[in-house]
Formats: sequence, C-alpha cells, structure tokens
Amino acid sequence: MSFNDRRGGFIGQVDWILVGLYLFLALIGWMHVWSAVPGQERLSPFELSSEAGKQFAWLIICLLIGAAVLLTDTKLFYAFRWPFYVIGLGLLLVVLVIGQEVGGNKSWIVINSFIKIQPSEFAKYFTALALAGYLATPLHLAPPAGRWPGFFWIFMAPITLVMVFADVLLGQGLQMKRVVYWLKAFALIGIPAVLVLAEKDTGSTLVYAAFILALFRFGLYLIMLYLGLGLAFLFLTSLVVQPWILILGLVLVSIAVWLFLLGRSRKAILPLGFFLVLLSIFTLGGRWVFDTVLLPHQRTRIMVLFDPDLDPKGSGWNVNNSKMAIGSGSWLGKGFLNGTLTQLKFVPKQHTDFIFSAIGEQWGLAGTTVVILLFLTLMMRLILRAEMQRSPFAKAFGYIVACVLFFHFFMNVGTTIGLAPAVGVPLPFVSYGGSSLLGFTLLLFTFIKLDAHNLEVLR
Amino acid sequence: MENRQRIYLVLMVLVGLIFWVRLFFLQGLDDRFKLAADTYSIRRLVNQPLRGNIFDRNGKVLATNDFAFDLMVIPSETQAMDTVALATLTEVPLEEMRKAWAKVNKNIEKKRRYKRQPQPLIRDLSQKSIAAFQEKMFRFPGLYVEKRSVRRYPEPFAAHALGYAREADASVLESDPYYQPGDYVGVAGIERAYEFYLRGIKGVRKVYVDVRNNEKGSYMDGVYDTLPVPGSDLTTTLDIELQKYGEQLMQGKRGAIVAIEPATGEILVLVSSPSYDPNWMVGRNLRQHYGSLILDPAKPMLNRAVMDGYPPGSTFKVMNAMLGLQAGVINPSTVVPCGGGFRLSAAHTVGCHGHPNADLRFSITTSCNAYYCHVFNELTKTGLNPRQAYSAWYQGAKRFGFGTKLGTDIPEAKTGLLPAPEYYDRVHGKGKWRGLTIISLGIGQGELKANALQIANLAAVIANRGYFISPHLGKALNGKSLPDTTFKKNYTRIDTSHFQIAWDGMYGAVHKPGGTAKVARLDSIPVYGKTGTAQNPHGKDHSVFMAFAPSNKPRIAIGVLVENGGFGATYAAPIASLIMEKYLTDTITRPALEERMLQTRLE
Repeated sequence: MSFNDRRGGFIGQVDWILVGLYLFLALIGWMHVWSAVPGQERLSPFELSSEAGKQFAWLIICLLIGAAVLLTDTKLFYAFRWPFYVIGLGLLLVVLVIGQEVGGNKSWIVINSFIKIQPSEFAKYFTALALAGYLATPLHLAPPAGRWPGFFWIFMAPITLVMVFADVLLGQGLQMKRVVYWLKAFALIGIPAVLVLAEKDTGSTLVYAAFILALFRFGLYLIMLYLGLGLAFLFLTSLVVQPWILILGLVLVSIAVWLFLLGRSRKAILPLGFFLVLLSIFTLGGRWVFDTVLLPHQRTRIMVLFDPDLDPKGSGWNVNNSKMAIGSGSWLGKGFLNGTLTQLKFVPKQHTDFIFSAIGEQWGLAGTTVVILLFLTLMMRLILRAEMQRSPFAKAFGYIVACVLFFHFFMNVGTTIGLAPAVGVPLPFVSYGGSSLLGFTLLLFTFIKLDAHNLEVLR
Repeated sequence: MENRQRIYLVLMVLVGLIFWVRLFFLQGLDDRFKLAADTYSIRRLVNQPLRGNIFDRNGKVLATNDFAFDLMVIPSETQAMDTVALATLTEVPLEEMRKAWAKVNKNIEKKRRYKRQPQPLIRDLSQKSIAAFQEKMFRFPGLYVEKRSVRRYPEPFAAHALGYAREADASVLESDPYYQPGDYVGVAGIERAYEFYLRGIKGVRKVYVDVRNNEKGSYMDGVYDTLPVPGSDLTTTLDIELQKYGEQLMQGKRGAIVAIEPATGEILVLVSSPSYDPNWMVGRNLRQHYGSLILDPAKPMLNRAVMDGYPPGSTFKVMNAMLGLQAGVINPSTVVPCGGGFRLSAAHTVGCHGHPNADLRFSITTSCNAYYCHVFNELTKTGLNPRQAYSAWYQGAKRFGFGTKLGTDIPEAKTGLLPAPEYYDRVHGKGKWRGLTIISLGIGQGELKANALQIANLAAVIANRGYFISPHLGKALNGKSLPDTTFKKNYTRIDTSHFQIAWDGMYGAVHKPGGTAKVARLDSIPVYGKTGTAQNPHGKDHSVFMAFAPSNKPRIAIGVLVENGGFGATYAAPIASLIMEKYLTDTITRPALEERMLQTRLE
C-alpha cells in the first residue's frame, strides 16, 4: 500500500457526494422531528429535553463517530469482524435478559430517562461486517463442504431443498460445496435474526431479509429471488383470491414454462412438479398461516393494505391518517410548521416510523419527490461504488449497506403510503432515534472509508 | 455475474417509481384527503361517573342509580317517518311527540350545525317502550336510544334531608367551571351538601372529529384519556325506619320533627311535612311534579325542619332557667308567686294558668309564665343598663344555638330569629327599651323564631348537660369518617350542675301531677319533656314539644312542631312520645294514641 496525494493520504479519497447525501437526509430528519410537535409545545430545536434536541445531539455524536470511522485503519474492519459479530450477538442476548419493553418490543436497554439504546440497530452493523467478510472469500476459493452435524441440516432443510432442486432444475447438477457455502451465509444472517425475533421486534427481524438480498450479487441462486418475490405475491393474492383459482393459474404457468422456457425437457418435469406442489402448498398454507399463526393485529396490518377502511380506528388508523396527512399536502405542501394534521398529532409515531408523512404534509409532492430522489441517488451510488471496489470485502459490504438502506426505505415509505404492511422500521437517517441513526451512520461511513482507499488496493 | 448489478438498480428504480406514482395520485390527483384534512379537530368527550350511593345509618340504601333511556335523534339522518307509530311504540302521547319534533326543528332553524348533532327527542323512556322501539328501530333511521344514569331513591321518604340533583343551570355553570351543560349537580339537602364527594370524577376522552361530527379515533392513541371515577358512597345519620314512622305520624299535618342523638349530634330523623317522594325530583317525574310542588300552597318543597320557623314557646323557658341560674338571679328554691300571671302594668298582664306557686323545678314542670317573665326581667337588670344586660342574655341564648345555623351540614338551614340588641334599638329607639318592653322573650314568644332543629338541639343541650355537637346528616364516606368535616362541640358555658334542675323539671312535666306533658309518658322509660305553644297571630297556635330519653346516657333528643296544632301537649308531645318509644323500645304500647295521631288531619 502506498500513500500519495493522488490517492488521498491517510483519510483516503472520501466520496463527498455520499457524505453530502447523508448530511442532507439527517438534517431533513432533524427538521421534521422538530416540526412534528404541536406549535404550543414546540421548544427550540436544540433544547435537549425535546425530541428534536436529542436528535440534534445524536447527529453531532454520529458525525464525530463517522469522523472516527474515517480515521480508522481499513484493515481493522475486516480483522475484527468476528469479535464484532460475537459482541453483536452478546448485546442481543443481554437485551433479552435485561431489556425493557418500549411500545411492545422488548428491544431496549434503558440507561436513563434520556438515553435508551436499541442493540438490534448495532447488531445489524456487526452482522454486515461479518457477512461481508464471509463473502470476501468467493465460492471457488471456499474450503470443501466437509461434514456438518445433523441438526444443521434439519434446521436448514427447507432452504437446502430449494437449492438442491434449483441445481437440478437448472441442469447444473448437484454441487454440495455450493449448497453448503450458501447455507453458512444463511446461518450467519439467521442467528441474529432469530434473537431479534425473540425480542418481538418484527420490523427489525424482517430487515435481515435485506442481507439475503445482497447475497444474489455474489452468486446465490437467482431462482430464490424470483421464488421469494413470487411467494410474497402469492401470499398476498391468496388473501383476496380463491385458492383454487390461484392453483389453477400456477398449473397453467408451469405448463407454459415447461413448454416454452424449458424446451419440454423430461428431466425438468420432476423439479418443476416439485415447485408446483411447493407453491400450491404455500398458497393453501399461506392462508392457513395467516388465519391461525399470525396474531390478530398482525393480520389486520396486512389486511388494511387491501382495505384501508377495514379498521379505520385501529390498525388502519396510523396508515390511514398517514395517508391523509400526505395526501393533504397536495402538490407543494402546506408549508413548514403549517401541517395542520401534524400539529394535531393526527399521525401516531409521526416522528419515528411515520416521519415521511410529516414531510409529505408540509412539502407536498415536491418534498416527497425530493426525498425519494435523495434515497434513490444514495442507494444507486452505493451500488455503483460497491461494484467498483477492488477489495471483495469492500464490495460485499457496499452491497449489504445498499440493500439494508433499500429495505428500510421500501418498508418505511411503503407503510406511510399504504403499500407495505406496517411493521415499524425507521426511515434511515431521517426518523427520530439515536440508535438507528448511529447504526446507519456506522454502516454508511464504514463503506465510505473502505471506498476511500479503493485505489490503494492492489489488484 | 456482472449483469446482476443491474437487478439491484432496476429494483430500486422500480420501487422509487411505484412510490412516486402512488404519491402523485395521493397528493396530486386525489382531492378526498385535502377536504377532510382541513376540517379535523380534537373534541373532548366526557364520561359521566356514577353518583355515589347514599345509605342510612343502618346501611339501608336511600339513594342509588338507575339507568334511564333517552330517545336520541340525529336530524340529518332521519327520513320521513310515521310519528303516530313512533308515539304508540314508545308510549309517548302523540301531542308530546309532536312538540318534541317541533323543538328539534326549531333548534335546527336556530343553528344549522345542530342538524348533524345528536340530541334528545324524548327523555326517560320506560324499559318496556325501549324494548318495543328497538325491535322496530330499523323503521326509524336517525333515531337511537342512549343510556344515561339517573338517581333512584328506593325509600320514598326523607325527601327534604336527601334533597335532589338536577341538570346544572346557568348560574351553576357560571360559578363553577367544573360543570358543563348536561352535568348533574346536587342542589338541595345531602345531595348538595356532599356534592363534592358524591359526584365522583369525570372521565375524559379526546377524539378527532371531522366536520360532519363523525368520530375519527382517539387523540394520541388515548394516552391522555381517563376513566370516570364513581362518586363516594355516603352513609348518613338518618334512621330510615324511624324517619318513615315520623312521616306517617305527620300525615295530614304541617310541621316538622327532628330527632338527634345527643352524644354525637347525629340527626336520626328530619321530617318536614307535607313532604313528597324524592323520586319526583328525578328525570321525567321532575317535569310532571315540579310545577305542582312549587304551586302547592302547603309548600311541600319548603324544609320546615330548618326554616326560620315560629316562636319556640315555652320550650324556651328551660334555657332561660339555665341562663338565670348561671347569672345568679334565681336559685333552685326561688319561688315566684304566680297569681294568674305577671303584671306588666295596671293594664297589662302576661297571663298564666292556675297552678300552685312554683319553685324553679316546678316552674318548668308546670310551665309558669309569671316565673319566666320574672326571670327574664331580673336578667335584664344585671348589667349597667338594660341594653348591656340584654346583650349578655343574647350571647347566652346564641350559645344554645338560637339565631344560628348550629354548624349543621344541611344547606337549607336558616338561623331563625334571635333579635340582636340593635334590632330593638331600631324598633324602639336607642335607650328607649328595657326588660319589660320585650318581656315575651322570657316565655319564648314575641319576635323569636326557631325551627324544629334548634328545638331538638335545645333538648340535646340539656341531655348533654351543657353542650351540643353540631347536628348533622353526614356520617361516613366509603365507610370511613368524613375527611374534612368534623362537627364541633359547642359549649353553652352554663355549669353542668345547673342542668340537673332542668332534668328534674322536665321529668316532672311528663311524670308528675301538674306536669304539662303527661301524654308523653312511657311505662318503661323515663322521659324528659317540655311542651310549648307558639303564638300564631294568623290562626290557631302551633304545637311545640321537646324531649329526650332515657335518663342514663340519653339516646334521643327530639323537637316536634305541629302547625296550628294548638297546645304542645295536643299533637307535638304525643308524636314525639311515639317516635321515642319506637326508637327506644321498637314497640308501640299505645295503639289508640298512635291511631289518633295517624288519622288526624289538620289541613
């Protein structure tokens, strides 16, 4: 590694566009946390006892930590990924024991009335480091499959089955090494996810799906992506369409696929049939899971997607009111601090999960368009920069950061406009909350740091 | 593998695009939300607490809550309907139904927004007609039934003591910000005196409403909402069985009975006659009865037990005896020759009935007018001048509770009239009056006014040998003693020993030859009594009697006043005697006397 001016010296060549986007979004967040309080209760945005003041303080802390990340040697992130991962798991275990319930989730460690931390936000970062480190060794360089204890297979059985059949279906023959490689990656993601689920924090658990999304770039069977999207689609349609119609549709699609895509291959009949049966079971089972396994409030959260008036004062309330606030913003909004519904505290949790509605009411379509463009720019720039990384670790980490941000963006904004079930995830950098801001800051600045030294990595 | 980058970019752009299109419709094209959002507001809804129950001293329920059903209407949601059918169904007279609709229509004319506001069409429907209505409710869109709690008094007695609660009127609303239109507030009797404890704490719910008055859900997820806290249960000092008996005895007579437990000041009985069923003051009954109660010349709404009253008559003499002894103007063996009266001047004599000359004890027993004119006259000579001497007597009489409200908790209590020296200065001129000018005060007549409560209290003072505890109706809240109201001991500053004379005299009045109240005698229990006759310039004199019993730790002190009843011994004494017998022995040994009292009509 050589240091010279062209390559940016000790700090490296920082991508100031990413930093600028980060600052812009964080300031928008702070501003709107401040605005989401009735006028007569609004204190100075720097008043530490108010939410806006706390958010400001957190932002300062995050900037300091971001600067510290930029000053850290890049090798550290890779070198310490396992200790970090273990610390992350430890934190999640600690919160299970001493954690306190805030808003139904037992995911908080309360230090005092001012400071509560949510370890799952940090666990995300540590998991990202470990996963990126794992993906840094590509499949062809990975050690042979070796022997694994039985319970591992049982635990991973469904995913294994899908992968095995995918191998067969694609006519590539069964590659045990590949299956095991991905199973390990799933385990890496799955362990913290299960711990977060034990905290009854549905939103944060679902965020771990974002890690899986990143895996596809590194060779995970694409068919799983299509299958996943297909299953989500099937699940939602099975709630409104008669199951037998759906299954009939599936059979027709399968025949079409066999006829036109698989060239009437005899070998493909068995795996195709397997997928068909799997999907049919899922279609029927989805409805059953929905009716029996899901809790009533989770059920209504999903059902209000189809019928916002289903439960207008209960589950539909937040979403309905959020939609109303956003809708009432019209083209240009009602003006900053003039959001009538925001002033009435009409949207519950507006400063956290529903901050987008405060922006929508006060700035209208103009404001929401700007925020969407900011996020798209940020996420796509991350993907573009990640693709350019010479270090496989940095590349994997970049993809993971982009996917985590994308998933949050999708679930959060989707919820506020009634396109995604309300599972309660924050909008990165914008929503009120120190832990989540810090978690996202660590993710982003670590990538910026890795990226800053990209040219120093010798091919 | 390289092309997999594109999957991510496409996915992101796709999601961004879908979101933007959604927002374009939501914010740009769809007008629904704009209109609704501008008109939202927060409304504070009140949840009325249940009013506290009221019990008598033995735990019998005197007041509790029932549910009333109002037929409500939202005019904007109604359609043409069959008024006749509705009237038949709800058992409301057609005329009343038409009037009710006319009133609703008038409201709408006044303020257009009333059209969308729920309002009562007919209040207080019966359970039966509600059931009938609800079966056919679908035929009457815009009408519904609302449940509301109302007062019920299981025993139709003690109306004056219990008082009543009604919807807060303009003056209450103005003076106390706690009350809002439609709230109930105790306006008389116990309901008023203990309003603060009985009313409970209102629950509040904040909700969003749109311009059409539709509720749109809880403000801040209901974190500021509170549940109503029911009012405290009040135990009173009343003995409802005895009260009932008292009211029966006073049937057909005007007047009052007050019975007190001397040791505690607890009021056992508070009868004012004529009375009414306290349930008449509730809901639908109120509108039926209130007018006739107000217009009745017998004034059934007036609480005669605590009104300004009439001269206390000869019961007053016992107090004067005590004041005389304390001042030293007489002693127990002082004998005043009666001779048929007290000669004021050559032309004027305060008459007396024929009886042997009396010492102090016998003067009480036989109620000698001459004796007390003498005592009073002597008392007014004790100071530097008659005015100063009178002032001393005035203060002394006040300490017996005359001219005061006795510190009672009955809101309607009046002071009666014990003329202050200034009163006579005004009437006769300063320095132009002396004892003889106002000699009738000596025998409890003249300007004096006292009520049954004060007379009963005088009996209690004597029973207690020198003090009384402010007579009261409130005993306990939720089973615990009243928090901030302690009824204090009031001392007369008369030596305890003097009261033996009063006891002896009053014992004689009931038990000895020459006694005026022998009708009050009980076989098993010594009774101490004193009759009185209140002069009535407008008609027949009022019958007054006070008494207490038994001799060892008196348990009941009673004052009875029967308007136009003549001598004290005629009605007041027998009624008092029957009540004491009932209270102390729980039996009636003189059915003939009881029958006569029950049957007598003096109206």
